[in-house]
Amino acid sequence: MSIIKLSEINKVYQTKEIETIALDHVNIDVKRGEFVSIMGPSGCGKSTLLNIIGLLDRPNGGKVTLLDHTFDKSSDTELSQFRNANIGFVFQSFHLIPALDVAANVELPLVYRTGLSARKRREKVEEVLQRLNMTHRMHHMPSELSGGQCQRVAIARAIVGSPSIILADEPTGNLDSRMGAEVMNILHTLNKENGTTIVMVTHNESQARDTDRIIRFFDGRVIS
Amino acid sequence: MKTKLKQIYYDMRHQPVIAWVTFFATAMSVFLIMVIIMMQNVKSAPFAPESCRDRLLLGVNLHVEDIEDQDINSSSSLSSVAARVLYDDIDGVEKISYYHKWMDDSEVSVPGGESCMAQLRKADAAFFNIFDYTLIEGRYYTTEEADALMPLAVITETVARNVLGDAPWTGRDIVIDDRQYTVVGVVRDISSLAMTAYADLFVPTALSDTEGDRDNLLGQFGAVMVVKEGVDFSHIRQQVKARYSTLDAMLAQSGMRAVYHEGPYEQEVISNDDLYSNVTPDLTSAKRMHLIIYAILLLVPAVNLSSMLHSRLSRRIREIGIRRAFGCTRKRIIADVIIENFIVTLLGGAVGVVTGVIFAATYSGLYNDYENFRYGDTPVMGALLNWQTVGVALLVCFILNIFSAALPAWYASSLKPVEALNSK
Ligand SMILES: Nc1ncnc2c1ncn2[C@@H]1O[C@H](COP(=O)(O)OP(=O)(O)OP(=O)(O)O)[C@@H](O)[C@H]1O
Ligand SMILES: [Mg+2]
Repeated sequence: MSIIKLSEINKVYQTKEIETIALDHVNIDVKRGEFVSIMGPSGCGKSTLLNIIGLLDRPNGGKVTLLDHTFDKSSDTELSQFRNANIGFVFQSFHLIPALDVAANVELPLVYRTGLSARKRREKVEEVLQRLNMTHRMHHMPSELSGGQCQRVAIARAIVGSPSIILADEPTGNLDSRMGAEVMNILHTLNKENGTTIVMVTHNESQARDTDRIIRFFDGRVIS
Repeated sequence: MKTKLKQIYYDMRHQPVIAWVTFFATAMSVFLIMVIIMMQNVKSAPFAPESCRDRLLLGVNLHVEDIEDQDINSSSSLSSVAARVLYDDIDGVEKISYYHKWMDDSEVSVPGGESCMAQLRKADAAFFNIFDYTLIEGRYYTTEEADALMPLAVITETVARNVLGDAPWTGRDIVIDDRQYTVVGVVRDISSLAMTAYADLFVPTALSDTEGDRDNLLGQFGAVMVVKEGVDFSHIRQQVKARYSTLDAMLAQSGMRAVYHEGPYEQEVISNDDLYSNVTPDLTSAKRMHLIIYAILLLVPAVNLSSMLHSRLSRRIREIGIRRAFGCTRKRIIADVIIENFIVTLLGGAVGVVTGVIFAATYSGLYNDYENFRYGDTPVMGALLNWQTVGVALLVCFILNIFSAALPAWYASSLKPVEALNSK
């Protein structure tokens, strides 16, 4: 049973004179609970694909189905609410909000969820921070953290709302190998213990081999 | 809310120039608005000695024209005859006083002494009954004394000090424009903001003084009335208008007639119109003019703020992208931008209000309408400042915020999440 289904997805970037075909009739199926890695050379459309799965961008053609929902006619509010409830993002450059401390950054997805009291939110934040061994950094600012710590905070933020899908775009790309391994451990634990579906873009062959399946990309097309 | 304040604080530390400029632009515009409101307040709000402004009517002009050729016409203040015809015994008037419409810039001195300049107002005794001056020595001249045009004077404290030196001043003689008067009373200095009540010296006149009358019914008099509580101004105007036929009859043999210009006028008209004696005051166009000026005054800071906010925002676009990725809706982004901007505007506004209050306290004397007012610059804080003024300033603050936040908020929300996320 597939949780993510892409059929015939096209994405074209139109800049002044050049037309870039970033995704060319892409078909992908990801099963619930699967840990999939996406590999391919730079510029082949991996991030574009992840953005489209994450409803951050719309394709020029084709259909995205997530958890049996389609989004052709969805309003911005519906897309936002779906992201909030079902998708967690982890980015290569962490994308923490510099003005907010660790706790407030992690809390972010819960802020946009209705019906959660401030206390309930705080509890959940503390729970995930504990799980990621970051409780002692709760009131630090992102600028006071190392790269690995930042990425752990970012993962905490991605999972705090218990989404069923996590999209990670080169989550270890800015980390040294030790920290990278640590982050991979966390993702694997999440996948096994919570059954969270994970789609991860990576350039690291050995990391990819540890996942359930590798999707290889070339020039906007799936090649294997 | 607390997070919002923290965010603003972070902003101020990391983009100090923009944040402070925004802050001060807001403060400045709110201050500006307050000054404008205060200028309006001063024109219409009652304050001593014009405490009766709400019920005050001024009949000071007469316009006569040739029946055949309207280009032959003449207009000015009233002769004693015309003043009597138009304004004596009008139903609904509580008090009335006749006075010379124009003040004289006069020389005043002790006999044989050095002279200084002061504004001289000729008025009958009822003038002191209409305006609540503060008498600090002696008394006002009486109706009998005024009717007899006795050489008595009521002067202000500053004039008394300058000319006579130390108190007591009553009973002493002064020379005003080469005529000798005896001081009977001294009043506290009068604010020049009290346009009708203001003067530095008062000496008697009355309708019995026909010296300035001309054949065409023009002269030097004006009438100032306090209308009875609850009486409509139009009730007074109807009676005055009806009396113009009497003037016409008096003018008939010289082939002239009097033109009615919707008088007598209330404080709002007096203060907002130049009040030419041969033109009907047009309050609506004066008001429209004011509105346009205010709108422009508001628009300038709003545009300024808007562009400031915009550049502040573009530095935060990535943050907006992050928030969007984690489920913040477009509407919420707009709301947040507006709220955050509102807080900054409010803080700036508070500084503006404080500046306005300090300004009012320090410089209320600057609100002089005529350059040749000499001594009357007593501060009238109460008239300048009230809760209404502060309220309007804050309301303006809010409008300003809507103006300046709407555009950037719309821009911020119109970005696709992915564009915002990847912006550098
Ligand atoms: N906003 C954009 N406008 C125009 N072209 C774009 C835009 N975003 C991506 N592209 C182009 O689309 C293609 C795919 O880009 P994408 O970022 O998906 O590649 P990628 O596989 O993630 O590469 P990398 O491994 O370097 O991150 C590239 O050729 C890129 O230049
Ligand atoms: Mg990429």
